[in-house]
Amino acid sequence: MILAAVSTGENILRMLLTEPTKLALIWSLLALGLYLSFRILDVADLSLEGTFPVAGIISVIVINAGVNPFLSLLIAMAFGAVMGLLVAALNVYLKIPSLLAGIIVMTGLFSVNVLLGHGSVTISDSSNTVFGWLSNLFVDAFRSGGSETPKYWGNSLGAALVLVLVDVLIAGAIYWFFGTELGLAIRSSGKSKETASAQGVNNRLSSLVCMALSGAVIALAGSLYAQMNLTATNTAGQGTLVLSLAIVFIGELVLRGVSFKTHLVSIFVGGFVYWLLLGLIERIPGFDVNYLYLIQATLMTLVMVIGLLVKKLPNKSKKKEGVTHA
Amino acid sequence: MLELISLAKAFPFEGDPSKERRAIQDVNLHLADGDFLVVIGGNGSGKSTLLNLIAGTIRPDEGRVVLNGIDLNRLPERKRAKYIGRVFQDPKAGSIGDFTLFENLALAYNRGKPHTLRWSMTKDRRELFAKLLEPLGLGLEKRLDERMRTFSGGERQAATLLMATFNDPKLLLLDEHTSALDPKTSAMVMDLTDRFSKDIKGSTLMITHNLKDAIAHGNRLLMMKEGRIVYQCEGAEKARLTMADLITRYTEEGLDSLGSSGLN
Repeated sequence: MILAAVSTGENILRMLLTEPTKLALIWSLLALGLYLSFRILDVADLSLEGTFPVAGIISVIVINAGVNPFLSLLIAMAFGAVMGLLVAALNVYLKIPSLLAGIIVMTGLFSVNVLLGHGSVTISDSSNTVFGWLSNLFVDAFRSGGSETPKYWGNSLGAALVLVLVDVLIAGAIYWFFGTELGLAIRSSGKSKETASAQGVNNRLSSLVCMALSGAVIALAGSLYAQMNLTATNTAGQGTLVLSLAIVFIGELVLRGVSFKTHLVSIFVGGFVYWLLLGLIERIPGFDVNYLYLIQATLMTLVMVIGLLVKKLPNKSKKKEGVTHA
Repeated sequence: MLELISLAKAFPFEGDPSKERRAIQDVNLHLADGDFLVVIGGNGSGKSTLLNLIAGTIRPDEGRVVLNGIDLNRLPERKRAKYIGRVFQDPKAGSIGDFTLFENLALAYNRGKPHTLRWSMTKDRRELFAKLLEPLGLGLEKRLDERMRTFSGGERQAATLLMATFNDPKLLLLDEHTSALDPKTSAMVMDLTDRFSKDIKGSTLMITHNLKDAIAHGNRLLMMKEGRIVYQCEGAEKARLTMADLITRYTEEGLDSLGSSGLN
């Protein structure tokens, strides 16, 4: 009995610490980056499909050149911020519609991607990542604890903890920033440029700052993704837009709150629900990995349709509410 | 103190860009601090263009807009917001529906000041806003954390009016701000308008379609027609003004706009 319970517990823990969990933590971060442009500024920025893989490649290259992995995160973020600024500048100064501005930057980054990455780059010392230090500590702890697979447990737990830490830190920083005077002004720009202008808000500055932040967070996710895989490929960006959009939408479906705090939490919930769904689909007998993008696209469509249906339902009751209020 | 000096603005005709519609023609105006000016005029008389020229939404072809000695022509709309508080015809335009009342007030409280990295919704501000909302008599001080979208038109205009008076505006610009409201709510908002126009040190400029409001409020009145000021009065003359007077003026101008356009 007790043995069975222990093994069930271990199985759950094993499941929680496997790849999807860590991926969910990274995808949530990516979705958070997208949320900044898509929901706060109301701009559909496609550049993330370029920023995400290039940030990973840059990280791997600088780590191999002897840069501290944590510093590589910051370098990747600076790169992402510049890409975000570029998209915003194309829109604000050259009046190119933001959707096109994103496509332009994304397309340009394809070349950077290929030139820098040559297909793929690999971290030469596998413990030299942001996950390494904590993972090594845990590996040692598990080894002295008598575990049969100390490396597996140590690495998994270490990586998951680092990712949780980064996610919490970034979400917290974003929550704080958008509650400051500058953050509030940026959010007002995203809601109504006219109203914001009448309140003295500089809409151009709002675009520039928010897109830079968005790019930095997306690049951070790209850097973590590369360091987790110990390798960065130039195809890593494919499908990231649909993926992160789906996470944002699922999150909004699951947690339908109105406060900014709820919105932020919903992205992480969305990340986990999304990977739960994909995990279930992958377990369908006869699943072929080549169908992944097709499945993601279908999933995205389903989420959007369900979202629209759900929105329609409570509208009726809201109208009734409105009548009683009046 | 607002000065409009030989202000002119023309728009190309829709359908025939070679022709122009002269929306504002040689408008001169001097508005002292404490003045409450009501602007009336038919559709296309140029009163909205005049307001947009002052707010900075559009730029004049000729002439200057000077507020307290500052040449506003050089400043974009967002920089004029430092000196000008505005309430719009559409109750949805003055505040952000997705923001809570608290967030909207905090945004307005920052108008004309640099946006820093200080927390915008402090406890001190919450208390201050609640104190300022209470005299409106609408119970809004208890609804600081509700989205403005859920507010009625009157509640939204009342809150926007309060927002417009933050940071001691040199000019309060009211663009038919009661026209979307029912008569009772409109009266409530006009009541608040009178109060706020006295509270601020600067002057108030209100556009209205409602002749009753034009008579009952403000110490100055100005009638526009085809981009020109065709009649204005103030003080005792304004106080004596009746509905019949205004309607006579209106029709007179309609019949003989050339003869009286020299009136200034």
